[in-house]
Amino acid sequence: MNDAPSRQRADEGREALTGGSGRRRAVRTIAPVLLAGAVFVMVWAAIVAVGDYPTYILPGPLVVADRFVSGWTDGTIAPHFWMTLGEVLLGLAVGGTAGLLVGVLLARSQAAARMLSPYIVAAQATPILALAPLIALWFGTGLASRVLICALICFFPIAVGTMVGIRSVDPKLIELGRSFRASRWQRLTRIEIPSALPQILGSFRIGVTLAVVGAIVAEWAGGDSGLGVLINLARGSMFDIPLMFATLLTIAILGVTLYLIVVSIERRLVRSRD
Amino acid sequence: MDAIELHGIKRSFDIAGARLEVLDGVDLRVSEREIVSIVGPNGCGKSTLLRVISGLLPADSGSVLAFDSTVAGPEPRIGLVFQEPRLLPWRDVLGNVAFPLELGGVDRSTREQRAQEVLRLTGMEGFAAAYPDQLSGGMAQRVALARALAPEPDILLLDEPFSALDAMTRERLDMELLSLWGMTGTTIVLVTHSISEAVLLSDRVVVMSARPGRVVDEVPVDAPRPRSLGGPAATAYGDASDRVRSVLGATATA
Repeated sequence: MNDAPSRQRADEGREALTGGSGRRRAVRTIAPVLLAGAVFVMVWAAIVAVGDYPTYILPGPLVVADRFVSGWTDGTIAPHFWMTLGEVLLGLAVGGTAGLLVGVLLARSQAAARMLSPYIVAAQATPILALAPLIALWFGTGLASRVLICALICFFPIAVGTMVGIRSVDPKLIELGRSFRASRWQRLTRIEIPSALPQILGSFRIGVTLAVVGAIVAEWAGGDSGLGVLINLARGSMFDIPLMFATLLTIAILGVTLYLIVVSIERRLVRSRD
Repeated sequence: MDAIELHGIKRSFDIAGARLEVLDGVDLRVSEREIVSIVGPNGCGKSTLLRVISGLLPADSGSVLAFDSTVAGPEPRIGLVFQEPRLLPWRDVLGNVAFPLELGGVDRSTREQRAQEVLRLTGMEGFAAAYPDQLSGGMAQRVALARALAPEPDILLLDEPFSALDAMTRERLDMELLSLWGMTGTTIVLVTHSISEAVLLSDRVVVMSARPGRVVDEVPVDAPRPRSLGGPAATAYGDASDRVRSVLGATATA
């Protein structure tokens, strides 16, 4: 009776899944982004032209673009970039794993939530900028302390996202699992985590951008490579302000790319629910 | 040997510090291959009783036997269909139907084959790749029925399974349930609000009192099988309905 229209809905849904009009949608989302970028660059160029600023105060977009290209081709940026990327990915892996585990624990155990929550919040409220020198003092300025700082900064949103996601799982689905004798592990992996996946991946979006910030902050605390170090070098001993801007541009591109990767993973794992 | 045997089932809940007696000594026997409906006023503990039979909810006292062995928790031989479909929205229909088998450790090809079989039984074989949000209420409940049948239960418990559907879909699903019963031979216990549904489907209608729930009467339905809507059995349905109504009326005024 009322099945016929939904059969049609099912077909439409399948078509949307296979992405019939994917290209047009891509154009529609990318075009405004490019437009905004063009406006930004034009305003930037206009400020430099009108104010007549010297390159060591505010280089124009063309100068920065030129230095960006030469910085990558002459091998100035690349080694620092790979260092930072490594720190971010390792930090995200460590912080993400810890965040997931603690998030599950907090969702499961009221006692754990009551005992740990104040400390987790306090740790998050303490600025990472203040902790970074301390961690560098304890663990040195090498990879380990940088990964630790990245992990610390992305831990919080992922732990909270996981906790909230798992707490908001429909109890009726939990009861369903119980009626089929799901073990605790099956309940977690087949019901709670898939159900909380939108929140968990949303927290990874925040986590990945924070991890980039963490890496730069950690690099400022010492060490001899990484994009944060390169900013200090460009501003200091090298006195190459266009390179500093080219490095900032690299950091921004890194952050946006990682964010988009998380979003595309999210798209693949979470079926869009209209 | 009876499929289900309940002796003196009592169950109460603590709600905001107050003790609420929901079931007060329920006795019930259901024979193998029998279809029994449970009706009663709102809040009489019908759904609680069904959860106790399924093993989801322990009774405070009394015993639950299925084919002479005690039910201490959910078991594969007892399937439960809830009022809502409760499909996992991130799994397609096949994945939902295979879900109980997956939890039971059945390998992928076996469980998907079995899932296809039960989808065919419930008329949903064309929708294995569809997702729950693409299904109508009736289709979703058919999938839920297929999922309950996947582990091949001997007993099927249904908790107002079609009450959220429109009247025509509901009648059709009632008839489909009967043909499923004919094919699988499971024993069925159904909780319903609808006297006409209870009479149409059942060999026996169990009437419960208002809370705390007890069985106040059992009304046999003397209509031949296979059942159909209306037809020569209409007077049998009518007689049984009248009796159920009068018992319900007596408990409501009591």
